Amino acid sequence: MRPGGLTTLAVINGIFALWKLFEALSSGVALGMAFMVKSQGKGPENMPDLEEMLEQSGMTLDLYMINSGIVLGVNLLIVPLLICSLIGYLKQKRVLGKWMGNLYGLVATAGGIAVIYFLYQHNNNLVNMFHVMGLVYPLLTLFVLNISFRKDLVR
Amino acid sequence: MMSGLNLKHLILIGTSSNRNSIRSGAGIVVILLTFFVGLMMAGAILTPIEMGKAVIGNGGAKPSPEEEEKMVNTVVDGVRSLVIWLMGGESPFSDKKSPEPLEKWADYLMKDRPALLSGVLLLLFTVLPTIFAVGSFNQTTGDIATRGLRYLLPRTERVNLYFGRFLGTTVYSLISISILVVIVVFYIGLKLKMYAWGELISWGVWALAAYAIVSLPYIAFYSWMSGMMSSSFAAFITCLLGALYGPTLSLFSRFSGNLEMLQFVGYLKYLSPWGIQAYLFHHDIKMVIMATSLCLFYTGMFLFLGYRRFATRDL
Repeated sequence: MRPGGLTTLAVINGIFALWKLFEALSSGVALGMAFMVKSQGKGPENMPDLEEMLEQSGMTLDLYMINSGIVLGVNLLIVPLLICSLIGYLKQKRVLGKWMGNLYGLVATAGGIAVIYFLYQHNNNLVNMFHVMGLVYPLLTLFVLNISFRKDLVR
Repeated sequence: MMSGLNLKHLILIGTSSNRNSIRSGAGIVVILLTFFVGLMMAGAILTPIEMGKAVIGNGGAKPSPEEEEKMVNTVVDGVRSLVIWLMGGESPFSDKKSPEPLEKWADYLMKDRPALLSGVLLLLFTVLPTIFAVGSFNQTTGDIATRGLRYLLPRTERVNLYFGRFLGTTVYSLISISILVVIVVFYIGLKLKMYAWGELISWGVWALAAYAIVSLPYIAFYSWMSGMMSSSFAAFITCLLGALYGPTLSLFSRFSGNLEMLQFVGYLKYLSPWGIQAYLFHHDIKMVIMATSLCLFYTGMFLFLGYRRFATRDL
């Protein structure tokens, strides 16, 4: 019988997958706009000046593009991992559940740390508590998969 | 009434109750809730300073000390108003001055202690009862509903079941809160670099002790409700109402303004630990001792009432 905790993890994975998908889409749009500004020297008409907006928040266009690129790349990697592990948790599969779940935990933690490190190197005030929040669920996943549910994902 | 109490059984029941709470999913939800709510509250206070610094120091230029000090003071003033309001003083939007003792108390929290950490810790204090409620409502009620406790009764006494689960839940809640406080303290220390490590760590340890003391009466109350109800949902709603009792009465008594006939409602909050818990951060040690004693009194009372019901009910 499947422990309730695995069902809970599957539901939370679903919520995070949707959230990360929206984050990836918005990073993609942001990156597209930044490329447009970089190549043409201006953004779409009737839109506020991107460079001026970034300046007001303490960023540069190049930094914004690299940051959006990392966020987009990491999210595109972790959304499929979240969906695969969701199915794996529900079916209690070793590869789909345990391995994919662990891979998600590692990739999301590494990606989160990369973003924090990158921003911290440039201007440490750009790192905030919300970046730390992004590390909570991947680390919790690694903990519960390898300690609490280590004998449950074996099929 | 308490015969059969066995330390080994208490530890065993407490540990297995924590393991089961993670395996059943409730423990995972509690950890996520604690971290997300706690870090969001910390972010609400710390992000304005970080954004301000980022704007001033745009493009890698280091802000001048005067600019930085001015910006930090603006945020700390805002946090001070919030802290005074949380302790029962005037609203941040009011022109009236709060009573003198309250101003002195706020000065202690803002000047003698790391101001930003005080703000975060007091804000966390307001949500702790609700977080504890989510983690504690199902201590015994789920097993009562499914008649699961019957399998344990031939092996141990009711007193071990009741107090073992109470202790297990308290330890679990405190571990989650401790990790959160450690993250916040290290974040402020490493990132903002505004306070000495000694100040931050000693205030963080004080806060953890305060949280531990205040968790006892709340979790004891939730144990009582959990042992009394035969439905998890009913226990959850009752615990949530218990958690919201203090904040609701506080807000009600404030918004009743000068209506003297309604002001007595504000005193009803002292029926729960809500009315006294902020005094655990008071500058006068006598007030801290008084608040601690009252919290322990509430704990004893709730545990007594809860166990009296649990000891005689049909399981």
